[in-house]
Amino acid sequence: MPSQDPIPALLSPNVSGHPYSSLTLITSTLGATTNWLLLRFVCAATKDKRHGAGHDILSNQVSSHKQRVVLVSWLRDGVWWRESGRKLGLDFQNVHLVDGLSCGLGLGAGGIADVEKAIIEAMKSKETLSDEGKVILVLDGLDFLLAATGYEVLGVLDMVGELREHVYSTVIATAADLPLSQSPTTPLEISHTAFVMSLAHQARSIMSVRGLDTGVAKDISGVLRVSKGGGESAGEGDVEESECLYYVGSDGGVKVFERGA
Amino acid sequence: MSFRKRNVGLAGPSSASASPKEAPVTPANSPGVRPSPIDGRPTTSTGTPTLDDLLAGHAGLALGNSLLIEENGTTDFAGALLRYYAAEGVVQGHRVHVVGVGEQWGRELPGLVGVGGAAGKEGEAGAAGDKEKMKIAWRYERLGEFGAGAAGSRGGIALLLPCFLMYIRNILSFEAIATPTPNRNPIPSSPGQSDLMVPAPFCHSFDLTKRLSLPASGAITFTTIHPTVDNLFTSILQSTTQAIASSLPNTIHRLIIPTLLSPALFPPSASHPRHLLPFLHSIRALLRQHPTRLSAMLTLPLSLYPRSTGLVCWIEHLCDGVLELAPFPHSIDPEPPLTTSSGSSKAEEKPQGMLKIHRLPVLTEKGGGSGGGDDLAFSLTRRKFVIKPFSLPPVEGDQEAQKGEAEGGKVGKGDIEF
Repeated sequence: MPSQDPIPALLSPNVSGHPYSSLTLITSTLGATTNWLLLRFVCAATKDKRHGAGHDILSNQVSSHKQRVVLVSWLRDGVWWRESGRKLGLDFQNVHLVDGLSCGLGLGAGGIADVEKAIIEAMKSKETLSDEGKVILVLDGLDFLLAATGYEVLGVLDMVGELREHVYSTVIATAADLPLSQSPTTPLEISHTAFVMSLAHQARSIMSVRGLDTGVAKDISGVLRVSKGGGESAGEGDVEESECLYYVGSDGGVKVFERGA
Repeated sequence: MSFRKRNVGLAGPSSASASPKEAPVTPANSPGVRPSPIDGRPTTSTGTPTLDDLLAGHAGLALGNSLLIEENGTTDFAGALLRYYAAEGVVQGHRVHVVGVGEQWGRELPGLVGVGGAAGKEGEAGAAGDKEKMKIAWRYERLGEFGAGAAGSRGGIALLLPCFLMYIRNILSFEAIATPTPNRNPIPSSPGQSDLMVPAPFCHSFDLTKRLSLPASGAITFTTIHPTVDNLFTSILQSTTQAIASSLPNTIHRLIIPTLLSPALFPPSASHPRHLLPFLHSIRALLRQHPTRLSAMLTLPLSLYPRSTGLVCWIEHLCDGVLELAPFPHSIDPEPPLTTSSGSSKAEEKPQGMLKIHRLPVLTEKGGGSGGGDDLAFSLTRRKFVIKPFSLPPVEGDQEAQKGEAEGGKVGKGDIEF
């Protein structure tokens, strides 16, 4: 949808302008995935610089507003991200995709160290292009790794902490279905709950996506709730708690609107 | 500029090598595959027409996607769906890979209804041409709703195949349908084109009481599970990967895993997340790696692994489509006493359970809701598995009450002022 702005107006304050070293936690449920939201994050990050540098393509290259995105996805393949991104007019020059699905990143013998290595490599791979570029790290499905491997929660959280030191801001998408954290009894549920909880405490804002509580509607895909995380510093205070509805069209275009609108 | 590029590509020597490469993608070369009316991605039939219709408007299971059918209770409706899916694959000449169960399972696949039907229709093709075109136009209109533009812009062939009916060669505009011979086919003629004239249904109909005669050559491969092996899933994965790699590039594969984690087939260690989740993750990767050649269907007994557990939640997250079957307790009775007075045809379509959609292939990945607001019910008869909107039948022998209700409803409507 090139004619329409890919980022709806209601959404734009939430997907861009995140302060330095902030963490945004995005949670999804089975029927309401967050891929569309992550794509908007990537879009916002790579398009910020265009607003800063005007329409001159050449000046973009030296703009200090340049943002790069490292997108690591364990549940979606690179082809899918590229295809969906292209529909939004996303420029993948500044996006480094780490396809954790095809290569089974972190599932091999190397364990969690492999993951960290791969992500840091990805961050550095394009560093020469922009010296003081901001890197935004997007991790999609890190909780899958936790569930499938039985790594220590603290180990994964340590890795997240270390990665956050390398980047400007971080976005982590996890699942937050009721069975995973309602009454954690199995090791899988316990570690998932611990993981998401501690991320929520670290996060500046939490964006949770879920299906409509009242059933299925044709023109509504789900509910998006933005809430303050535990890691919001007192001085900022600019995360506005809100809840709105969204609709993802078959062409990938998104409408975000207030309830009753 | 784009025009120039295209011309060069067509005229250049590279075109010869390029066209066979793309060949597997075009539906013409692969039986049982047709482009989705929504976005043109190749889809294949699940063997159950009403299930095909449910899958987010793609009118089939998009290749490169998996479908998880969960079932409550001790019935095996999901198994019936799985058998249709397998039988459809066998009939279409797809390679079917079945995990866990023995060859006996393969011998119990439902047989085709009216085996000679396809051949008979072929003969009719010329004679009943006009009549057929009416049907084509009618079907085409339905397609137009979904976006004929998308199909047309691909410039490819859209096979519009209602079950039992014929295929058509699609045409770029509606007028073209009216032309006597659809000779505006944009696909360059190839040896395969003569095959196009043979009507090949997208979805066959099967009879559960009949048995499908399997072709001699290994259309179905069975992967047995060795309970002693440390990680039993790696062997399944390896054999499937090898089978795909060693087959011709236009072979379509179907992976079937009946009753995942059932203790009758799988050892206890299989349900450990550290074994199961990486396996499902690899299947997902394999599906994405072969977006035009592989599809998968799994079933999961919910009575053993309830949806309220984290493990099942992750299984669902790793599959593209998730449907849940909740059979009614009474439907196990072959002849429910309640329906004796009503017509036999009605009794046959009595719903036997509810079907819930938790996730749909392609659509949910995009972010769309799980679609379909109606409550859905399914019924399985000898001939077919039908999914349709659920509505409570009127209570037998309570006609007075019904009458009163109807009148009351009328009055009520008039009374209400907005």
